[in-house]
Amino acid sequence: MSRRILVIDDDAMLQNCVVRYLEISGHSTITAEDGINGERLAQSERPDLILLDMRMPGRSGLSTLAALRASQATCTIPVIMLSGCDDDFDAARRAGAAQVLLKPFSRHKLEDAVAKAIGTTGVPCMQLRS
Amino acid sequence: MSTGTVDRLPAYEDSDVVSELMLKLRVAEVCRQAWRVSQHAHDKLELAEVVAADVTQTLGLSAAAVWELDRRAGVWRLMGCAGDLDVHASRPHLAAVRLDTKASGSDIIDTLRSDVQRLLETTDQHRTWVPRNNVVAVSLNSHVSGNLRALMTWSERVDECLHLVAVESIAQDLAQVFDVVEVVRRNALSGRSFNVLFENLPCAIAGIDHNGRCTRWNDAATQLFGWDHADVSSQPLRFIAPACRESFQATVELCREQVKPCDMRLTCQAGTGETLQTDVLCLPVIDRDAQSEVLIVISDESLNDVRQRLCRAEAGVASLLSTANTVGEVSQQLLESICRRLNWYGGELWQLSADRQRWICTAVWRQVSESSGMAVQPGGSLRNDSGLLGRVNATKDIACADGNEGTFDLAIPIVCDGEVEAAMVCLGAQCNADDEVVRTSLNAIAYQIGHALSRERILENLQKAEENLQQTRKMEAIGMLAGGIAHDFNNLIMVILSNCEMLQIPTTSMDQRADMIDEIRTVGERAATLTRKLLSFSRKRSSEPEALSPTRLLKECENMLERLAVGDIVVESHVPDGVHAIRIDPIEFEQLLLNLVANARDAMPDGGRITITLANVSLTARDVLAFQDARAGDYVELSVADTGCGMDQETRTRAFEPFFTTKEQDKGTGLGLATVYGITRRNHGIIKIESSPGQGTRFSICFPRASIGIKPRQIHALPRQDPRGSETLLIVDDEDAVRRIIQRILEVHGYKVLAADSGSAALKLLRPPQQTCDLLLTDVMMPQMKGTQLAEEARKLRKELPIVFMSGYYGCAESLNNSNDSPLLVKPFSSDVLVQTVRQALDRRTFHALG
Repeated sequence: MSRRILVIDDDAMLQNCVVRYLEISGHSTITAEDGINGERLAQSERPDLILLDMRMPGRSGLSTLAALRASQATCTIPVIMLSGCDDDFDAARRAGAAQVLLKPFSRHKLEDAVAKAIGTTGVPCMQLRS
Repeated sequence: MSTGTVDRLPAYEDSDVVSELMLKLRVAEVCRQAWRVSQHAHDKLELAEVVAADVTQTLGLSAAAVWELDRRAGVWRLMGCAGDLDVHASRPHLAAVRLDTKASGSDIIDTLRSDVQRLLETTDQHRTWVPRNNVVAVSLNSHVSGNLRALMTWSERVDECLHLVAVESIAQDLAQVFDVVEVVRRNALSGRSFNVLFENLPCAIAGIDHNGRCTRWNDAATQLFGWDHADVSSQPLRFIAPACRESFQATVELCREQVKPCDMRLTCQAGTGETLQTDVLCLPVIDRDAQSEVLIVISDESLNDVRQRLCRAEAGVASLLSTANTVGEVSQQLLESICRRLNWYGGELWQLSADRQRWICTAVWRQVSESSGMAVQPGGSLRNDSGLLGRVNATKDIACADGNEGTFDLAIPIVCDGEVEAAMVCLGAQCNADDEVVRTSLNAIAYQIGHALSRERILENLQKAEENLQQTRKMEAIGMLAGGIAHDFNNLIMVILSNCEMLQIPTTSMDQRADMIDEIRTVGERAATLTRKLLSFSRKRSSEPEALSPTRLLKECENMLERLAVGDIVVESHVPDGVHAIRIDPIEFEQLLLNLVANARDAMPDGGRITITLANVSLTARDVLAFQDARAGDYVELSVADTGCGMDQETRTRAFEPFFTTKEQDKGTGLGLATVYGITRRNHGIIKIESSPGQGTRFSICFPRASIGIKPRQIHALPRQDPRGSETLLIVDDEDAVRRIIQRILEVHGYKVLAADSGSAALKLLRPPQQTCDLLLTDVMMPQMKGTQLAEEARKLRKELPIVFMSGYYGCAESLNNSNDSPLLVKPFSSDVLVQTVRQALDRRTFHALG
């Protein structure tokens, strides 16, 4: 099933790779190169899924995730964190990421992760804490 | 016969004044000579001989003789004489023959009988007798021993009056001189008892010879001044304060001259430099060998007061501890200072071991008796409940020996952080430890030492904690750095793999394939650049500064700067025309700029403005005063300013410290600004920070203007030539994938390729002489046999074989012993660079062969 997926990553080439993967799988994509713009797009476009790079300059991936979780408009959108280092996994899960994908990943792995994440519903941070 | 009164002397006339003056001079000379002789004369007899001769010669008399009554024998003995007594042989009253010192003087006495007898028997006052014309006799009776002595003189030529006056004038001095010699000689006969007294007297005594060199030095002097006998023997006295040397010398001279005790107040200096006010008594002596010396008896006025000594001991301890980093450094001096000031014979410092089960001796001053069985060498140990040490450990109080506790008299506990950690024990403690003031003072001394130990411990713990913290920070930073590196490389790998995956999809169009291949190439180059930057940071790569335009460098970094300007951050630059060139490695400039901009970006999480400026500036000597090695002159200033959170004083101070960071955990390693600092210093630049909390930050870096023209920036492209060929190449690399791709590239370009995965396999291929091989391309770092070793062996088989080395290790170039100038390809290298290098190496060989 085709989904609308927001890809937030400061590395343009990597972003291209992910977009290509998603488009081959039949999804449509919107992109942002930093956390602030990514948050704005998430609020305005309300995608079905967000792929969010963990380490970005300026506002980091974790900070952006926290902001998405705190907003009523975006808190229910599932987020898959993309990480280049497995040290980030625990922090990402604690912050409310639906999944964490370790780079480099293949197209099939991405497809599986998207399928799993789309099936879930993002829960607002406040509800998570209770 | 005359009665011997002076009434019969003729009156003086004026013409006699001159003669009288001359006589006085001669008389003075006789007395002076007599005193001098007395210092060296072995005994009275020698003195008498010299005196008689001197009197005769100086006063111009015919003869002189000195007599002494031997009461036991009942005879007058001749002690010494001079002159020609035979001249008077014709005179009836001088019927003496040449006199012998051992002969009785009765011949002359008989001749002069009653008169002389009367004279010689006078004991209670000085008497002059003139029994005959030209003969004078004076008594030289002793006031010390009671011996009767007399001087008789004869004169044919000297006027009677003058003769009389002269002999009278010298009589008193001569009597004293004989007394002194008698007394001193007597004292010298009891040398043995003198030595015992000398060594054991509690007051400090030194002896000096006639040259002022030290002949004696007793233990009390060692205690007072700190020098041992060996330190001072045969040397001028050290303890006289310079300002007092002249007056001391004068006192000693007077003592020698007059052969009598002289005293004075004297400022002395101890070996420690301390000044002492003393009373000094100079005593003239003659030792058993009849060598004269002066004894200096020194009395330190402060030693008499126990309280003063204790105060000085406390002050001495404070002084020593204030200059030392640890108690251990000065423990020996502490003991010595305390023992000397308090007149203790010896002392030791003991410390409890870490487990508090044993005492360890850490310092000893004056080794004391081992009879108690207590260890006296530093390093020795005792049980913690031993003797006095055990008591102070249990009671935490000063303990005095009760006679059954071994050698020591006193033990003083040293308390550190509420527990007894050490103790000072001493021998010969003469101060009354029961006295409240004394105990207070001793405790005060112990307190100072305990406080110093405690402070030492705190500093040690603090240093350890700082080291641990630094180590932890380092490990955290290394962890973060590794995470960052992993992240960056995984990103690049992702691009490569995903593009490769996409290329395998049949439906991917040709245009898309071209784009994908381009992306793969681009990230490959990015990976190489990343590696170079990492190595540059770790200083493995040597920088290659060249004269460059910072304007152009800044422009070349624009793309990267735009990438950094994420979110609501605006980056703007102000670059005027005519900015001077600077000498710097372009990669380092890029690193420096990007680090500064990244730092500025991270200071503005909610957006802001970063302003980059270049400007020509002239710095004066005053401007560069605070910067070591910087000189006045023309500079180019690069500044990066932000509108972020700013830095407080502490952050500004530590900003360039490696691993120091104020950022969130996943943001910074604390190495960015350290890198900036390092690059600046390496390129002889100056860096300054202007910042305050909430007011943003401005980094300003001034690089010296380059003195030579700008070198056009070269892109290191090889000259374009047809890289194809048909030669046979042997490639050697233990890495299968690398070997395969290189083989593929070369085969695509027409070469025949032999491949080996090790040096030994390569040599096996080279050995058969019929095997063609036109070039060896080998990796340097291989297990078992390195590329350089392979090259050496290959050249033995094929002398002119061209060799090209490959390596991924940047340090390789320096360590490669490349006597044949074989090219080195640094991985990663493009296929273009590979084939061009191979082609050039082959052509060079052909050229040489033709040449």
